[in-house]
Amino acid sequence: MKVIFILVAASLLVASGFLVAFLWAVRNGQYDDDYTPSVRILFDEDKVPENNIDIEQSDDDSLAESDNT
Amino acid sequence: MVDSKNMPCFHCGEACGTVPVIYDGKYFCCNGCKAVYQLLNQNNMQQYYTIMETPGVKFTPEHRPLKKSFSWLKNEELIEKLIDFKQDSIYRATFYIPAIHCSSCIWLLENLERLDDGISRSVVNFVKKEVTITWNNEKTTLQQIVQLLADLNYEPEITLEAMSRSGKRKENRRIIYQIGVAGFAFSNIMLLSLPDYLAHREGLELSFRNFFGWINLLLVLPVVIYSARDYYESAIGNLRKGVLNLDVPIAIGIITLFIQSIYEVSAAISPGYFDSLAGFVFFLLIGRWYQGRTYHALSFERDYKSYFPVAVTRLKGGNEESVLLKDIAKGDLLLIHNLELIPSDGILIDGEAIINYSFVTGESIPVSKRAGDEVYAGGRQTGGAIVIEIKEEVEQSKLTRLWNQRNDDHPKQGIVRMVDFVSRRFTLGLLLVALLTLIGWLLIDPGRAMIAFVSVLIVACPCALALTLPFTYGTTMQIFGRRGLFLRESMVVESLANIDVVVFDKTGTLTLADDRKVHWEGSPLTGTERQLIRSLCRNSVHPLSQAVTGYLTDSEVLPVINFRELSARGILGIVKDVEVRAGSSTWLEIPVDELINRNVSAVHIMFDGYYRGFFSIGNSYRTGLDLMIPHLKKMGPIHVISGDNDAERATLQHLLGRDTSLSFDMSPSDKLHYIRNLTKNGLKPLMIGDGLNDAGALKEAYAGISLADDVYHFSPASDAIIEAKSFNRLVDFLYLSKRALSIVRMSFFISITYNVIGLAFAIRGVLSPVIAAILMPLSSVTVVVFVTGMVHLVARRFVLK
Repeated sequence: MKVIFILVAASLLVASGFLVAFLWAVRNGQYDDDYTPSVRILFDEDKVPENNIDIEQSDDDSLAESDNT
Repeated sequence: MVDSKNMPCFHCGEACGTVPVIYDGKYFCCNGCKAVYQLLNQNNMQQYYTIMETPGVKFTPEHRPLKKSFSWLKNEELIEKLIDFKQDSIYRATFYIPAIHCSSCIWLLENLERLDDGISRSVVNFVKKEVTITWNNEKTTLQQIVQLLADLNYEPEITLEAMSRSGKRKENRRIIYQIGVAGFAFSNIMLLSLPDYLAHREGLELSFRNFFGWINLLLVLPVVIYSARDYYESAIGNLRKGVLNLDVPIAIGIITLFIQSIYEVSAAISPGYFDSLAGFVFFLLIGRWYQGRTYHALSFERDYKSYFPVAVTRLKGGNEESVLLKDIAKGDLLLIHNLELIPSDGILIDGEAIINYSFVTGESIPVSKRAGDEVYAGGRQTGGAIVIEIKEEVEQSKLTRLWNQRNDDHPKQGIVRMVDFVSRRFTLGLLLVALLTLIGWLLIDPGRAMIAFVSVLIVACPCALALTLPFTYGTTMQIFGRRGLFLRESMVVESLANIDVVVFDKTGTLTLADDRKVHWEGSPLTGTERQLIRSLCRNSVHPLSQAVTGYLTDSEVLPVINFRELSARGILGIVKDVEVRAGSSTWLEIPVDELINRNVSAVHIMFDGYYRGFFSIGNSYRTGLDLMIPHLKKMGPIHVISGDNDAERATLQHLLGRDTSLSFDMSPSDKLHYIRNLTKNGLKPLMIGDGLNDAGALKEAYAGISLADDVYHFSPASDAIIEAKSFNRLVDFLYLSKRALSIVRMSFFISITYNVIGLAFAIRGVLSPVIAAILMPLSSVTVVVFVTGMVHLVARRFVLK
């Protein structure tokens, strides 16, 4: 039965991981807007024949993903 | 040819009328809409029109910028205030845009970089109706961005009030962190407590009990220290003020639970009450979060500042410069353009002023002023630009003083809420029972006295009681919101339930400001005559001209030459070689007809000097008003206070009944004092108004509802905003509020029953962690399910079908 100590410790470790993930998501602003991303994802990519394909890296301080190609 | 009359505008979907603007084979209702289409078309952005049909917003006279210049946005000090972030030439700012309403809006506003390559990124928050734009200030400027948004008819609302709004966000997140931590602890502690409960008979092996106990203690620490910390602060703050609110027994409960649990775990008596403790805090915080939810996109705190422009144009040494409102000094010359507000009291120096004071007084007919006349803050100039000399600084104008005066007085009568009343009784009762238990056991069996005393404090934690209000009122608020009544906070439900007198403003509240009843009096007009009149009247912004224009929509518009508008008299011009005059009877020298009802305004028409007849224009009342009156009277007497003259007295008296008291020619401060007097007489007035002139009364009233055609646009500060189209549901809303109050009473009864059951164990000193762990969540869940279910049931079956 000693294994239970290890299992409890492991489960708490995993659970803490989820807690940290949650806190990070809140801090990152993912809970600020629960509507717009659901619309944004449905926009079609444009067929603009331009060659400025610079995929923008989303900067770490603000919201969500960027979808401009 | 296509029948264009009912053709929807390709951009905004409004009917195009008889003279559509045709571009690119598409029909538009006006040039504004066409211009937006053109702009998007040139930039390959037609996708805007494929996501949603007719996604645009119609340009109304108020939006129509008349090539409004945003030159005041060059002001460095202002830019500093508006932006959120700046690094080298990279700027970021968040704009509040009330016009955001559909998916196409999101698409367009997130693709702004195609229209202005200085913009690197724009992100929409649909719920808050905000867009955050990042740009390179070397390639574009704040002014250009705002201009672009305005050209697309997504003009951001830039007000002093909105500028100070961005600070709020952080605070809202804290409660989410607290809930997260409490939820994490609750679920894990529950898991680790379970073995002990199940092994109750023979008792858990000691090594396990110790191990689980200490881990639970570790888990519960952040809950006690971090998640529950607001309750201690609130309890201490209230005790200092001598108030016994619900946070006092909550804080006592949390601390007692914690200490008792540490004792029981270290003595290896039981697994402790850690799961009850964490669950208790978790549920309470959820209730708190639910209660704190508001309508982010709406503003309930608008004062005069949000009506005023942020900056105005000052004339200095012959040059125009833009200056922040707060920097205006006495003696400055200001240039006021068409449709701009006069920011402070002053004297008219130059230009023909036709000033609409409806914002301030409710009087809908503009007044004309000559050079040398005084003009007052809050008036809106209609017509050409005027120059005024400022006599008072903004903070000293009559309008502003009205505001500040109210703040100096005690703001609102102390409202004793039901929860305060109940929680005082509850807390006192609890302490009494705890003491009696202690004394009782000391006499019978001193060894059990302490445990019984502590048990009472633990079990009486008013968790269910504290959840009742957030969930009852919060659910009610949601139901209201879906049907067009938006509350500032959920507690307003209780205020609405308790009102016992209803006070209405007239203009714009009982009557429709734009939609007036127009009748032509005289022999029927021919088609040509209708054309002549419409062509003339559409050139004027006077409400009566607008009403006539609206009445004759089906006529074609002809060019007008020599158009002139004579203030307070009428308009004239030459259409198709006919001189057309429209105006008052005195101006046209027509003997006043006895038959003309005093209740209506008249616009007399003359062609080439021959009198043709007149339009009678009456106010039209909101639909459903007459049906509501008998119901409203059951809740209390009705009063009407109007800034207008008493032309409508007879009509109103007829509509509202003899027992309704009507007051006319009320200034904003008269209205405020009227409400204050009602309050002094022990009444709880509900004030319903729409203009800035009602703002004082709305704040002073027990409950204030402001009425708005578009809830995202300007509405004065109040407890609630009602959509104009939901006005006829007002009675339903009030009924539902009253029912919500009785649901609260029932729920209080349920939760106190649970407490009594718990006390029955506690007083005997046999409360065990298992009983606490069952009773506490059970009572919370019962209460939440009961109140939300009941509110929905009542709303569906009795009130809002």
